[in-house]
Amino acid sequence: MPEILFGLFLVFVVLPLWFIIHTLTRLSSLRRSLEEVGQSLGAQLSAVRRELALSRQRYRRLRRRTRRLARHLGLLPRPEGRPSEASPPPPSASASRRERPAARSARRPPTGAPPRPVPAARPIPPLPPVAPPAPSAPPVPATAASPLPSAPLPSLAPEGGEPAAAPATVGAPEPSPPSAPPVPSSPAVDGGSPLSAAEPSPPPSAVAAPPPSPPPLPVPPVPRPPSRPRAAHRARLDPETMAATLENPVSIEPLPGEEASAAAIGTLDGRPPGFGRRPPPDEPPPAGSSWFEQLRASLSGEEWEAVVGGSWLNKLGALILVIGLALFLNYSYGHLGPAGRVATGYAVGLALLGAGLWLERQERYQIFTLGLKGGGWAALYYTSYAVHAIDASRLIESPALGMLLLVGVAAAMIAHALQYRSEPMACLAYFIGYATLVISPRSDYSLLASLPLLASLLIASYRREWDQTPLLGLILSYACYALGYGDVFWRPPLPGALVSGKAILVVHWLAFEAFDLLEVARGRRSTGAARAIFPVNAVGFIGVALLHAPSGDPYALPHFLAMTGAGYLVSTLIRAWLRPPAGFAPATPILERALAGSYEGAVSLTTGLLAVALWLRFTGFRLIAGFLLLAEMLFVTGRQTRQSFLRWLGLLVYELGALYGFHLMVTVEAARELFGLTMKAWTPGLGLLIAVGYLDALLLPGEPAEEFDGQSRAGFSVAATLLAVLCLASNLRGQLHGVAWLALALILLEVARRTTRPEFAWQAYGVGALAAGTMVVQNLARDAGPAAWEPWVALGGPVLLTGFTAWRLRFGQSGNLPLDHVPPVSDLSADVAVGALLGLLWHLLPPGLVALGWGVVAVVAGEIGYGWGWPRLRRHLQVVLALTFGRAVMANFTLLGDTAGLSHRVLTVVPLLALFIYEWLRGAEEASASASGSGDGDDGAPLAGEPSSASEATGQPLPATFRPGGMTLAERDWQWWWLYPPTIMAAMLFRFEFGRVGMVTGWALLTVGLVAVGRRARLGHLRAQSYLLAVMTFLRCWGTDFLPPSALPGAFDPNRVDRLLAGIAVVLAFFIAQFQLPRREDPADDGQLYPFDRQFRSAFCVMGALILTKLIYHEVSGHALSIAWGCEAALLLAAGFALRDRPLRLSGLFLLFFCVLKLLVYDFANLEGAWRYLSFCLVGALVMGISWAYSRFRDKLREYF
Amino acid sequence: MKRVRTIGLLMLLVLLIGSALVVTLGRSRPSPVGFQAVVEMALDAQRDLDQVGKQATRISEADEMRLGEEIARRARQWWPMASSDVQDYVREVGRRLARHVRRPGIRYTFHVIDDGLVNAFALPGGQIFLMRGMLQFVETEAELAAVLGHEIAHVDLRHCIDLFHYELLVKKVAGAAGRVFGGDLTEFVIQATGQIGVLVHRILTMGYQKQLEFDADEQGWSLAVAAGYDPEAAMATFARLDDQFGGSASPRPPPRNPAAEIAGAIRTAAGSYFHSHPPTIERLRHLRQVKQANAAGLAGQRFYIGRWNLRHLTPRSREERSTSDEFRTY
Repeated sequence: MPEILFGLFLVFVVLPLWFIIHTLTRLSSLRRSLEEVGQSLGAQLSAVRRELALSRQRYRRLRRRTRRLARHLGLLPRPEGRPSEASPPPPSASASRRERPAARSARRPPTGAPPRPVPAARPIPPLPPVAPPAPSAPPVPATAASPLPSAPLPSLAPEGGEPAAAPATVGAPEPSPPSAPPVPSSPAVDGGSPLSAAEPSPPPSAVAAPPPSPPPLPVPPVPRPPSRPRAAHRARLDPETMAATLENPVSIEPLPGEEASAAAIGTLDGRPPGFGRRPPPDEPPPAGSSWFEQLRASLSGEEWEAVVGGSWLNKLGALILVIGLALFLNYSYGHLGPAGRVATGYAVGLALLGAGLWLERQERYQIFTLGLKGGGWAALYYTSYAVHAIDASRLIESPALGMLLLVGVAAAMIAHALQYRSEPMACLAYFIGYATLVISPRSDYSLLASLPLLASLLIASYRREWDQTPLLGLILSYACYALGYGDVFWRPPLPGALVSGKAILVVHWLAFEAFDLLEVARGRRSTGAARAIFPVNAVGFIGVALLHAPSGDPYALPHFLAMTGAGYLVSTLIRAWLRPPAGFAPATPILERALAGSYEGAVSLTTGLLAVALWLRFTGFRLIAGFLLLAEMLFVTGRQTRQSFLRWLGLLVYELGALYGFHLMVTVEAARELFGLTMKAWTPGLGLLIAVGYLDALLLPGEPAEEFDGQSRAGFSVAATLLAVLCLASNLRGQLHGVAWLALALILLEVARRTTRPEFAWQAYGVGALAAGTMVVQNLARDAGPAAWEPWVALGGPVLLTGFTAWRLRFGQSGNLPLDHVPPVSDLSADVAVGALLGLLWHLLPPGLVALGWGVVAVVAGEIGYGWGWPRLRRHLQVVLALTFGRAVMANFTLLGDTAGLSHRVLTVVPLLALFIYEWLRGAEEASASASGSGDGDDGAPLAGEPSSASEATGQPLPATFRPGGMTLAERDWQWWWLYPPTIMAAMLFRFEFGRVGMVTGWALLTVGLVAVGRRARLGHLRAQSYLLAVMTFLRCWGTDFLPPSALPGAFDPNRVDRLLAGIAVVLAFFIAQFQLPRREDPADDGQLYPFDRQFRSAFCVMGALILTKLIYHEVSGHALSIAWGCEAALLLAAGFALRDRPLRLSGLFLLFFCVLKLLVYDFANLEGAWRYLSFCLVGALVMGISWAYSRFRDKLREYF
Repeated sequence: MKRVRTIGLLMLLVLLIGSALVVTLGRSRPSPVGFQAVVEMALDAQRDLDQVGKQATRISEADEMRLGEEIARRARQWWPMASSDVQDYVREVGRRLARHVRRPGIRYTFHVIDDGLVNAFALPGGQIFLMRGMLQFVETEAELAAVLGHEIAHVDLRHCIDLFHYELLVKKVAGAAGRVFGGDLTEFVIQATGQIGVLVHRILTMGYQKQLEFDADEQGWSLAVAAGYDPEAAMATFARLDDQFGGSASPRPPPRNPAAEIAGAIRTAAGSYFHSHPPTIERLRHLRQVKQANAAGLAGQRFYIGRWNLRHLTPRSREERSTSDEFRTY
């Protein structure tokens, strides 16, 4: 049921109000346009009138001169009785213009009622001339600042019955008569506003023939606090201000005084002054108007002690007296009956009042009488109140009669106070009145009694333009209610009750709100106290109502807040009509506008109240829907009326909904099924919230944005994005977070690409980074889910999404994205795509095949990078190749299994070797092309046949790193690095395929191959690899002697032949490698590692000879070892001679010497029998033969040396 | 040139994808993923370098045997020895194996400790110790031969003396310096410095101790096979050791994310460095590979099992049973 009521409230109250707001705002716009047209026409009319006045003046001047000439010539008789022929010269045009309002007021036929004192009292400052001043109207001197009375002076009336166009005008060349100094207005008329603080008020007799004015009250002028008009006048009369004004003749904005004057005589369009017109721009408060300075000003001219003792103590005493009187009347005093008490009260009140009235004629008691008069009225008021309301003094039983009496006393008091125009006095009176209510017993009558008090206060304040009084009344009203009647607000009225407490409080609120609206209507909103009425009224009303809010009824408070919000919605409409937003300067701060009575404060309050009501009334989806409805009403209204503040308010309400959504996410764990999908229970509501947030962000205008719209767009979209991110995270498994967020990021990026909403791009970057990080954590560092499809979705999806994005940004349209965003976004998207693809392959492929899969990725990335000049893809090639190498090292060399006799190690590593070699060749080719100039190298010029890039679409140059082109210098410099992985992988393949010992053959053959290729291709890096590999091979051969642990030298050695063949192969490989290297320096070589080339030519020879020697040692161990070594030495020498190779010969010689040494040291002692002499004989013959050879070929040997 | 490149690219892609398909269609076994390959390559290089120094300062077999006898004497004082018939039986089996060693100059001595531990160890110079528990654990003489062959291989491949190599060297250098320069201080300083170096060397070479076990398994298997014992006996022994004493309780499930794979690889590599013995299951796998590599040499031969001989502590050299269950023919 409450929901239905609330729905009906929304449909029948809020929606019509919204419609009314909308309609009125449109009407306001229309009215504004009409006003502008009217103003324009008025300005033209004024210009015409000025011209007419000038023409008329010229005509008069000409006529006067003609008459003077005629008199001089005797054509006309001289007029008699004229004191002088010289009539005052016509006023200047500006003076005439300035005096026009006064003239108008003089033209106005006198009525029975006295003229309104306020405008008549306001001095009219000189207007700066609109046009350059005529020669007859020099710049107004400072003395001309004295304002003139608005009433026309009969003695200065122009001749010919013309309206008073030129009274003693300011700036007129004629000197003012001594009897007419700058004339102040009568204090009795203008409320005692002197012209200047320094000028004494002239006696009333100094004013010649004042216009009909109300008779002066028989009370002396009471001290007034320095009011704003006076301060404003002082500021305007300041010489510096005057000078500044005169120096800036273009400034023609009407001043408040003029505004008031204009209000006094009516407006051209005939509307009531100040109502429905655009109010003047608010003025800043006058400088030096702080509280302390006001106090000082109020005490100026008075002895402070006199003020304290005569005024403050007097008022205090009156207050205490009245309270005592109230207590007296309330107290059941046995000696006096009700009539006696009432009579006593009236007597005291009248005595006080009479004394005050009698004493106020003497100037010295002016201050003192204030307290007497105020206390007297309060006593009379309370006594009248007690006549019916208080049992102890009840004489009147009829509530209506009692109320009439009270109203009468209040009216009289108000009338009296108004006559004095004294705000402090009024304040004191009202304070006493409210105090009586507080201390009196609570009843319906006492509640009702507050209403006439309130009405009198507000009427008086409005008429006298008092600022402090309504604020004081506001505070007193709500304080009185809170202290005495707070709990009756929520209590239903008793049977027979005159009025409900709720109605009284509502009437209070309505009264003050109406007062504030009337103040707004007449444009008096520039002072601090007046500005406070609206917020204090709201705080007071709601605060007092909430003081005793019932806790048992959950719907009472929301309904109260909703109704209050509806009330402020009406206030919003009226304010929007009275002070349309166009009336403010564009740069006016929103707080300033709200305090000045614009609609923003009221609509903010409406929104806040309705939002709180929703919050208290609903939960779950209904609350989200309520927030959304409210937010959208504000948003759509703001959009239709072009009010960015309303849209911003809509954002705030939306953010409340979003906050509640976050709260639901944290607290609600329940799930529900919708369309066959299981999801968290709050998902539909949050989905709606997200959709509306994005929709609003898109409906807001893009860049350049109005005030608040940038914040609103960001607020809507950021909140929606946060909600979407968390919603996805709550409903999906961890592995799927990345792909879901990535999809969201790409949608946001697409919006940013298509629209002028940069905040979407930044959100896309943030969500994309989050998605990438999550993908790394969830898919690369956490176990995959049990479902087989999960890797496909979790990693395959990002591959497609980011790959497409990278491609599109790189080669497609970048749209509205800032151009400097395009390269990093495209490259990072490509990074994510490649990373996700590598992760996907890891999940899908067996461990041994992952490196192959990554290799394919590297090939594809490399081909795109080279073919289409995409440097980032070339970098991906490098990274993926490095990862492939690492993966192969981790997984492929320990791979077990075989296919058709081929081990899986070979089957997987050999293609990878081919891959590395291909990529090196490809890179070398590209590097060569770039270096030779067929590619762009570093200059960024596109290669032929490349697809168009983003720069072609935008026409702007892209950063150098993003331009299509060939390899850069850095890439070319690091190309050599890729020569090493193939060698390492090949060496490891031999190691794990043939074992620790058997692999030496492979390494030796690899050494030869590297030397050969390195020599022919002039690749120093390959030769360096061969040297390192040769040293490792030699060490392995030296340490293992080609013997695997399982090989036994004797009975069980099934692989002996293999071992021998391996040894021979290694030795041969070393000697072949030796002859691959140059004997001498080759200037045509690339110069890299050349010294090592020469040294390793000898090193290869020595290593080969040593390995052969050790092999013979193991295989021919025993008696024939010396003979075998001798033969080896002879072979080495022979080969050295034949091949003209000195290292070979030297190796043979060293071995021969070692053999001789062994014969002499070891064999001589250990060998026995035939082996002994056979060794000596054979070795000796070899030595002799070698010696003969050296002798025989000595000459040729010298050539070799 | 572009055409050649295109053809090369296509061939490369075909090679990569085709290899993957071939591997997928073939017979694959669970393979470890980690840094074993890199670690083994590094340890290989370390061992090669270490061998250069050791071969240059080789200790003679006489010194080695002297050292071994000294340590064995202390061991015999420390542990109780088994009965003489057991000692004789083990000695006979061991001597049959020692005929095929690479270093025939080493004189092998076999001891049986009267202890229930299932263990055996070797000392430099051919001192082989076997616990009674191990003798009770093996089921055939061929299995006993495999155990003894493993210990003999440690001696024959110089694993034992290598442990004391630099220690003896330092002692020799210090003694020579003391004699040349005089004074105990010089000898003490050189010996203390040398011992620090030895300690550092031992820590550095700790990584390839597992590889030495593999080598000893391999040569021990060869020694047993060369002596005519069943090649399957070593595998049976390791399988039973693995069953009874664990070491490879349950294989770890394969990692299900890349980070776990890398973390596991690092953990395995770091942990395995300080292991003196590889897991039994790996040794078993290695022996199977050795047997497979030597399958050609085994073909057609007949090998002895010796279940009865062990039960009766009668060595094969004394009585060889001719029943079919005592032989295995390949």
